[in-house]
Parts: sequence; structure tokens; C-alpha cells
Amino acid sequence: MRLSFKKNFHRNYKFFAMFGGIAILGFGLFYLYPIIRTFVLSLTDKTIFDTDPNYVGWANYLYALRSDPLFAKSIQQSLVFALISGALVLVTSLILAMLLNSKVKFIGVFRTIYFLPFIIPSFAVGAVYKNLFNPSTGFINNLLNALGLIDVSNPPLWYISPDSALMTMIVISSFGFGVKMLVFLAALQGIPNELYEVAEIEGASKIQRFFKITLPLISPMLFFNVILITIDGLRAFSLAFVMGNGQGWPSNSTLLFPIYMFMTAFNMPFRLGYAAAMAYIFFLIILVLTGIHFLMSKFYVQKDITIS
Amino acid sequence: MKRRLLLVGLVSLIAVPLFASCDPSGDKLLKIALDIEDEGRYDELFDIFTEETGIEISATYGQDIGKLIGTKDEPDIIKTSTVVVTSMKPSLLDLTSLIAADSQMNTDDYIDSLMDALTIDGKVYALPTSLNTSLLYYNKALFDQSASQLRDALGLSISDSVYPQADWTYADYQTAGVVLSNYDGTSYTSFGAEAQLNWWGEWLVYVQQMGGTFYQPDSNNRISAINSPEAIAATEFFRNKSMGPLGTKFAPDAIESASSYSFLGGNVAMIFGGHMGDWFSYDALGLDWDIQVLPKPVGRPSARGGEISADAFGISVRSNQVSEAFSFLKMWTGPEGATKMYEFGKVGALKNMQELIEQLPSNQQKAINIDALFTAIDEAVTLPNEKDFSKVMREIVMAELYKLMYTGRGSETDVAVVLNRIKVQVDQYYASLYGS
Repeated sequence: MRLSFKKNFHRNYKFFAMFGGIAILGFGLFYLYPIIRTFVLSLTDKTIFDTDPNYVGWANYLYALRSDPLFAKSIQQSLVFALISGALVLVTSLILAMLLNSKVKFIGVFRTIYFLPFIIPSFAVGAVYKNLFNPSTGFINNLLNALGLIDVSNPPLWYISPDSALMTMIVISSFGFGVKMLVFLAALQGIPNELYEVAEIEGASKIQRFFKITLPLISPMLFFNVILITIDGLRAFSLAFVMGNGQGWPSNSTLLFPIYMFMTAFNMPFRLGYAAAMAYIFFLIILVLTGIHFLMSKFYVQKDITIS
Repeated sequence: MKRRLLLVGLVSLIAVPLFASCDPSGDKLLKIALDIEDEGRYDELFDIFTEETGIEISATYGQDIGKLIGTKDEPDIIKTSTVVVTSMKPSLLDLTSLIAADSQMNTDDYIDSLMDALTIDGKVYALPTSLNTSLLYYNKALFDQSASQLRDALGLSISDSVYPQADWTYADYQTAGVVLSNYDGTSYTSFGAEAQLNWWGEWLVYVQQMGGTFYQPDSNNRISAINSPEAIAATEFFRNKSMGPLGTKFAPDAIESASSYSFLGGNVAMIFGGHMGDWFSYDALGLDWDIQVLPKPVGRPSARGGEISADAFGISVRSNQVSEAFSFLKMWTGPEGATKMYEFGKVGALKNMQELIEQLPSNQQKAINIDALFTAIDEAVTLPNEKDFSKVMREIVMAELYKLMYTGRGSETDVAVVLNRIKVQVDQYYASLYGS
């Protein structure tokens, strides 16, 4: 006999309370309280060492928006980073997922090999890439030089020049497709092969099959990945921390917003209240971008997918 | 029965950690938070204090003091420094009355400039322990390898030492640096000196030695004086050191600095400025090194300008064991603490530190030019007492100066233009904080 939710709840409310309570307690302690506390902090002039901070109202918000050129620069650089690296990650992860979805021998081995680099901590990855992109001794310039693609007297300076450091970081981060590739792979594996067989019989080309079958059927996962990649890009920290020596080096060109917020809170003069206000403004920016993604999803996400 | 057992188990899980943190003996316990590398170094000193006073010292290592204060879990004894004391002031107890009431305590025992830096509006917030001052570090082995070329270039006789001397000018420094820089026709294999591109510790010393200042003296540290002729001359020297043509260049530029050129790596002969906290690393790596006072600008033999700063310790405003903590602070910052710290390459901030070192058995004294250290201390000045100073230096000054230190996209060559731009940005920064 199947019980209604109401009856079920009355009969088993203790279990609801027990299991739900743990989650609610965790949410309250580790999410809700910090969110509220951060907002309260953002209205004060608290530094880390302040025991009695003053209430300053919206002054921190106004200072960030009106008077802090590095705040604007860090936001702008974070948006550029998220947009370009996000697009690159999306394309590379989809292409690799399609390759890893093909029926070749030892595909399991290939899948493992392609995913393995993503269990290496970003800090280590950043340090390795710094060596690879070293303008005078790095592998990349040596390779380009051997191929005759660069002028050895004027090589690309990669992360050394403020003009190219952000772009170098974007190139490096575009290899961060690990989890997104898995999401696409799972979506691709859910597409019945019969659809492709029928399309092939009907004379559809590979490109038509991709745009008419693959893309619509993985569009919910595409949307999920777009959200994930956008938020990841905007919150990027560890790679920028390693590449920019923790301070947006060189000349603030790799100063992404999370790094600037970290520097503001945890470097002299330790302006915790101001950093909290910056975090809230940034939260609003992410919220708006996510909202735009949701609105745009109406145009490309196939919601009513029924495959019989 | 099962339910009761479950209940007891759950309560125990909560209670055990709570009770474990309590001190069962009831003895007095003072807490101190130290750096990770200090682990175990001062246990002997803590034991002596416990024997003398009956107060236990509980030290934790590698914990971020900011986070401890933020979570109201700070120790009784708080580590600060002459650089961050202004920012940390709200967490530190005013020690002035404790010092005044203690007949054994005399702040005149400490180096004056450091005590001045730790005194804000007439109130003392911490006492200094180990100091750091700018010195010229040199690799003796690299100097020995180029001894004959150095003699020729510096006009020395066979009996003269080829090592840096106390009367060296910038010209001598550069001449030796060029000799010690080896160029194989395509790239450098070694350099005469390091270039500090991420930290102001070298550039600002040049500015100060040339007679310049970072802030305008009468501006309450709100207006920059960075485009003065002295600052321009200093910056030209700083730039030419890395960017000059073959024959004048003796330090790596920004591109070369990204490769492995460093004093620690053994392929750079000198560091102008440096940090005394690195002594331990130099020894651990087996470098044959020594120190000398900083070279001076030509025509300014008594120029001051090297930096002096010190680690310092104060008492938490929330400590309920103030008198016990002050007793410990006296020992920690006094001769006993200073002597113990010297074992680990740290030099105490006491005026009689040189005497204390000389009283040690010869095998405990470092085989370096200790006279140079104490001369350098006398010549040094503290950083401006301004809480935004390091932020301004890091985010504006060094960020802009960097563009002068390499060739290629985004680089610049005109020192005066860059310094003027920095001045505008620094002045705007202070105006946005405090109004014009």
C-alpha cells in the first residue's frame, strides 16, 4: 500500500526531523550564518585585529564602486578570464568527451589517462606551467623556436609581461576540462545509438547529426556545464595565486577578483569589512550572470526530451 | 537499553573533546603562537620560565594569528612586528603602565628606532625580539673565483681583500658586480647581484640613501615624494643595474629573474638589502657567505637609508593573565630570549646584543662580519609608520616599477614618466581614503 506524503510524514516525522535536521543544521552553521555574518561585516570598518569595529553603513560598497580602481580592474579581469577560458573549456571538454565516447580499443584506459591530470592540485599545475612558459628556458618557446614560429630575439613573454600574463593564464586554464568532460561524456552515453543509425540511413551528415541529435540531447548538461564553468571562472583562485605570486603579479595583470579580495582581507591593512562588501558586490554580479544564463537557456536547452 | 547506550555514546562524543581541552592540573598556562619553523626551538627556554615561575607555556606553531584573533582564540602572547603593529594595535594591550611599574624593565635597553616604531601615540604596544636590517650579502666562493679580475677592476693590490668593503660606493658595487656577471655570448651564466622586483626592500633603500623619501615630510604620510630628483636618480640606478648595456648590467632583468638566478642558488654573488631571516637557509644550503654594510652613493659616504624592522611580541587585550604574560615577555625579549634566538640565526633587538654575542663560546658565534651588522643597524631607518604603506608599495609602486625592468610588450623606459604616474596614483589613493 502506498501512503500519501502527509500520512507518511505523520508516521515517520521523527526520521524526517533527524535526517533533515542534520542537513538544516549544517546549512545554517556553515552557509547561512557566514552569509549573514559577512553582510554584517560589510557594513563595518572591521580589520582582522579590530575587537570593536565601527558601523559605516554602505561606505564600503560606495568606496568599491566609486573610488577603488583595483576593484574595477579585478572585476573586469575576472569577467574576461571567465568568459574566454569558459568558452575554451566548454569547447575542449565537449570535443574530448566526444572522442572518449568513440568505440575504440582500450577506451577505458584513455578515459583514465585524460582524467588523471585533474586530480593534481592546481597549485602544482600552476608551478609546472610557469616552467613550461618561461620565456627564455621554457619548453613552449623552445618548441616554437624549433618550429621557426617565433623570433628568438623577441620571443613571447607569456606570464612575464603584464600585456600577456592574463591571456597566458587563460590558455593554461583552458586545459581544466576534467569534470566538465565527464559530465558531457555521461550525457553522450545516454543518447541511444539508434538515433544516429536512423539519421545515417536518412542521409544526415556528421555535422547535421551533431547539431540535430547530439547537441539538443545534451543541452541540459551543456547548460549545467555553462553555469559550472562561469562560476568556476569567476571564482578562480589557486592558478591565479600561483601565476601571480599571490598578488596579481606582474603589475596587477593577473589580479582576479578572488585574489584581490583575499589580499584586501589578509594583507596589510587587513580590511575585513571592505573585503566582505566586495564579496557581496561580486555575489550580485555572479547572481546576475547566472540569471542571464537561465534566461538564455530557454533558447538552447531542450527540456522535453522523450526517447522511446 | 540500546537507546541508552546510543545516547551515552553520543554525549561522550561531545563531552570528551570539551573536557580534553581543559587543564586538569589547575596550573597557570600561558599561550603563545609561533612560526612553524620555531617548533621545538624554545622548549628549553619555556622550561626555565616554568621552573622559575610555575607557569606553563603552551606554544602552537604555524597558526595564523589573524585567524586566531578573528575567532577569539588568540594566545596570551601575540606576535607582531614593527611593520604591522599599527594594524594590530586594537588587539594589543597597552604595555606602558606595566613597563613603568616594573623596576627591572627599561625600554632604553632596546634599539631606539625599533621602540619608536612600536610606540604609537606615546603608548608601547609590543617589545622587539629579533631584528632585520638591510645588509650587503656576498658569496665568498664566487668572489674568490674572480679574485684577479676583481683586483684589476677595483685597483686592488695583491694583499687587499677582494670582498666588499665598508667604504664601498655604488661605483665599486657596480664594478665588482659587472666582473662577477658572466656572459657567454648569448646569455648570462651568473650575475653580480640580485634584483628585488617583488619587494621594495632594495629600491626604497636606494631612494633613501640618495636623500629621497617616499612621503613628503610635512604631509602626514599622505602625499608621495616619489618624483623627486633623488628618487629619479635612485630608480635610474636600480633600473640600469638590470637593464643597462653589457659592461654596466650586473643583475637579472624580470625575464632572467624568472629563471634560476638567485643568491640561494649560488649563481648570484651579492644581495643588496636581503633579509636576515634567510641566514638559516644560507647555512643549511652550505653557502660560503658573509655580510658587509651597504654601499653608499658616490659623494654621500654617511648616507643612511637601509631598512630596520623587528619581530615583536605583545599581550592580547583579551588575556586574563596580564602580569604572568608580562613576566614571560620580559624574559622572551630580554637577554635570555635573545641569546637563545641567536642559535637559530636571529639577532636580538637589544642595544648590548653585540656584547651578548661576544660572550658566547666561540663555537656558538657565527663566523661572519658581526661589526658590519651593528654598523648597519646604526645606519638604518624604520619604515614609515603608515598602515597602508605596504599595500601602496605592493599594489601601486612595485607594480609600476616592474614595467621598467624588462624589454618587450608592455614595458617602459622613461623612469620619470613612471615615477610621476606612481605619484599620481599614490596621492589619489590617499585622497580617496582621507580626502584631499
